[in-house]
Amino acid sequence: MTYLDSLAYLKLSRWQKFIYKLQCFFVAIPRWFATKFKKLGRAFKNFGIKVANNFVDIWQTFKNGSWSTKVSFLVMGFGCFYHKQWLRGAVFLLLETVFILYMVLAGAYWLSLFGTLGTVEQGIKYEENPFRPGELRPVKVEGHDSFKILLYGLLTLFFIIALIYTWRLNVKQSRICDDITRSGKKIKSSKDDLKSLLDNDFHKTLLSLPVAGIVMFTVLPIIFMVLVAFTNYDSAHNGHSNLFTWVGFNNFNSVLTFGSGMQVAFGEILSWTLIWAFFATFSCYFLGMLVAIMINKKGIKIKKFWRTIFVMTIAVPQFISLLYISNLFATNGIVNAGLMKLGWISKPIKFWGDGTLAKIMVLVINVWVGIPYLMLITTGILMNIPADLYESARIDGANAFQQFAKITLPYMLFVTGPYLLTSFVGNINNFNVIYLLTRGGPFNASWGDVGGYVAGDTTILITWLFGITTNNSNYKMASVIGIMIFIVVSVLSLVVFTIMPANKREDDFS
Amino acid sequence: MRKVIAALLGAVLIGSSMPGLVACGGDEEGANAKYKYSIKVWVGENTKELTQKLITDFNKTNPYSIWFNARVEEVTESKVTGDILKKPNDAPEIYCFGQDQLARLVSNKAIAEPYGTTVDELKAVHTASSIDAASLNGKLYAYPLTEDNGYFLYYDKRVMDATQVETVEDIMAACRAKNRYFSFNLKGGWYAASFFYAAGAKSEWDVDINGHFQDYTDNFETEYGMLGAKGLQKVIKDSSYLDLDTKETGKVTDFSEGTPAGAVVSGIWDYKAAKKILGDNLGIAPLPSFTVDGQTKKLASFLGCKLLGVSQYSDVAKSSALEFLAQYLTSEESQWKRFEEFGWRPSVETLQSEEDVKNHPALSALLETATVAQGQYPTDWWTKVQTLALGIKEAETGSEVGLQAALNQYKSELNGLKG
Repeated sequence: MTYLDSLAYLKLSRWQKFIYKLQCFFVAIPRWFATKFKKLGRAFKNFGIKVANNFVDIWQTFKNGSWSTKVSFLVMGFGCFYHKQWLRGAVFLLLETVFILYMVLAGAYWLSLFGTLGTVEQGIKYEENPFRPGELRPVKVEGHDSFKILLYGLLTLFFIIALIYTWRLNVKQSRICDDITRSGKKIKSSKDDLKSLLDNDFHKTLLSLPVAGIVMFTVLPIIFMVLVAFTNYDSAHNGHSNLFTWVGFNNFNSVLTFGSGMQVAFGEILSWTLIWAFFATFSCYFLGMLVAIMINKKGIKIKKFWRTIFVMTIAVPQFISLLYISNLFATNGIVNAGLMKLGWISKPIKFWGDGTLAKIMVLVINVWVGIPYLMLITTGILMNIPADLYESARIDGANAFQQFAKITLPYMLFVTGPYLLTSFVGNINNFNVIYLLTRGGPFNASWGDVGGYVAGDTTILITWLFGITTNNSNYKMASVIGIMIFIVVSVLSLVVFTIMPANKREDDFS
Repeated sequence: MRKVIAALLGAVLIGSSMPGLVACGGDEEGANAKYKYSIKVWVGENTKELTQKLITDFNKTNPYSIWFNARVEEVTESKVTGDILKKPNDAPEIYCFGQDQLARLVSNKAIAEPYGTTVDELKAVHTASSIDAASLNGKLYAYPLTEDNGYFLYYDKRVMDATQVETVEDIMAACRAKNRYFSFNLKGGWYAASFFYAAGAKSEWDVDINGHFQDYTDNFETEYGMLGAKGLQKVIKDSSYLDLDTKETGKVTDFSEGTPAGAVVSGIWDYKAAKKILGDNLGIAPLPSFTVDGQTKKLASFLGCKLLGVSQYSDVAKSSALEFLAQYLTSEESQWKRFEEFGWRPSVETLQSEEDVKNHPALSALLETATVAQGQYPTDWWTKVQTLALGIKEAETGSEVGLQAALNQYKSELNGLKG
């Protein structure tokens, strides 16, 4: 397509302008991707150069370093000791000793089994029964435990990486000491080091423990879970009595092989998840805003009362109200019984029995539980919009809708953009509303059981994941689905975040 | 000052990233016992107190100087195996479970067999059928706890009388007339299977010594299965059938809902609750019959046992001591107490012929129901039957093509359950 200059563009009719903009948008997509890929390529290249530089640097250090530096390649901290940096030297040496001890005592064992995740199964041997002398009875002989091997093997890998990093630091330190000695300056003493930990290097003091905590309790479990996706860890291989092992990409294949039961179910569940998240987010957003605008309007009396009524729904724990509503609308529930008693219907309405109706129900009920939060958030922001904007708009003859579209909405989107994104992601994983209302039903036979769990019309990825882990202990597929959810969520977040108004400079707004 | 605050914040960050630690303790008794163990015991709902009492009795009366410091927890029997296998290192020492889970426990080496003289003692006391239920390929693995795991009909006498509970057609007509529901969990494999077994269809699975499923004989796709499918469809598509779509039906609490149930198919575990809701209006009857294509078939219930299992340990004294305790918990004395308190039907032969047991209203209804001795099934088989029932519900009414498609679909997936 050809790009128009401003004059040619202004000549277009309103409709043509729209078409033109749309064309531009689609034409720009490949370019957008191309720039992203180029950026990625550059990042990889830079990373490679950095790594290579490190190796060169290490080699140079070895070649040009003093003898103490050369020794510290093997005995960590030797260079520091030589230059009387006792504290640093001791720390390096201690770390190396601890590491070697760990590897000899435990690490080597876990690492050697890491490739197979265990070979010896639990067995039985016979021992004499102390209560019935002369009678032999079977007792358990422990075998390998795949779960522990995976966990401790991973931990050992972490330690190795940490040691390599420390070793590199140690080499660098020795070199720095060499350089300083050559230039004739004074080398920092241990006392200086300690002082700087409370001063220049205070961030290290402060962050070392939290970082260690995050690595141990957040990063390690996440990597562990990702690794599970590449094993056959399920109800038939619990890792204890029946070992599990690596299976490569088999689990991903069953989800991604086109036409397989898993793939069809995954596709449909994913698309409903996205539809659900979209409508759940925006229905609450706009209706919540509408309620807030209505309550804020001049001339509305007893505003506090109306607000309180809406906030009441927050006061009751969400899961209680959801379970209650689920029973209320059940086939044999009070709503149906009441309607039949009144004679309005002759047979019960199957609120949860029809796929489409159930989907509408969960969306509507989600609006009911979601509006109060949005109302509270938007009330504050609405009060912040300068009143003179509206005043001048009114003088210019703008009607209520125009005021909303041109002033309120852009302002709101600008301020609440990040909130919208997080609530979209939150809705993708909105386990409560779906599971407590429908448990993912109405269940149907069309997909069969997927991963040992019968999925239904309102099943979203997270309730599916819950179903296959609790019903069937199918951890390998749960891990795969977890990774898929992560990919979907992260791609969406990145894309939306880059095009969101709140991400642009404030001058662009207004 | 700011640095102190920052350091505090850092500490909070670490603290919040650590999982919570829970403290627990037990009472210190039996100081003179030679063999002392702290154990965890999983039992069925409502039976915690009685079990705790029985264990205390065992501690006082056993001749071996064994003392158990037991923590008794109530669990849902059908979920026990899954929970044990999820946390094998945290498994209870003794647990109760439904017999259909035995193969899975054996294949996962999570159950220790009774051994030596104990086996002979157990075989002498319990009925042959319950010993069978606790065995795999002739080898005894568990301790029979009850012999009553089946289902029958609870009904509201204000909705139908004793003459109307003999066929599903009458039951549903009575429910329709009074605007009530017939609650029967046909979307659960355990209940849906009753139609197929009643029609003469069978699904039997062979288990090897390691608890792995080797082969099966299954004729659900034949004319017998078709008959069962038609019967099931007749009920599940009736306007009086309570179809909750998202939840399980077949609970006696359905008697107290907005539109109450007129009849509920459930088991002995619901007897107390049903009595509480309906009082004198509670009627109990064997399962009804159904008529399709001019053939009348009486619905059949699985009849199985609840069993007690013991985990495997490498300590020989502990293993033997647990064996004694499990034997005591399933003894004649203990089973009689359980019958008196909860109406659980004993698996001890001499107790089954007691007048009180024979005349118990719910138990007699169960025994008058045609029963199928429950064998071993792969865990996923129940899910397959569940899917089959959904398929039958979705098939067009009376369309043999649709029903056959559902049956064939079920059959085609059975091979995947082996192993």
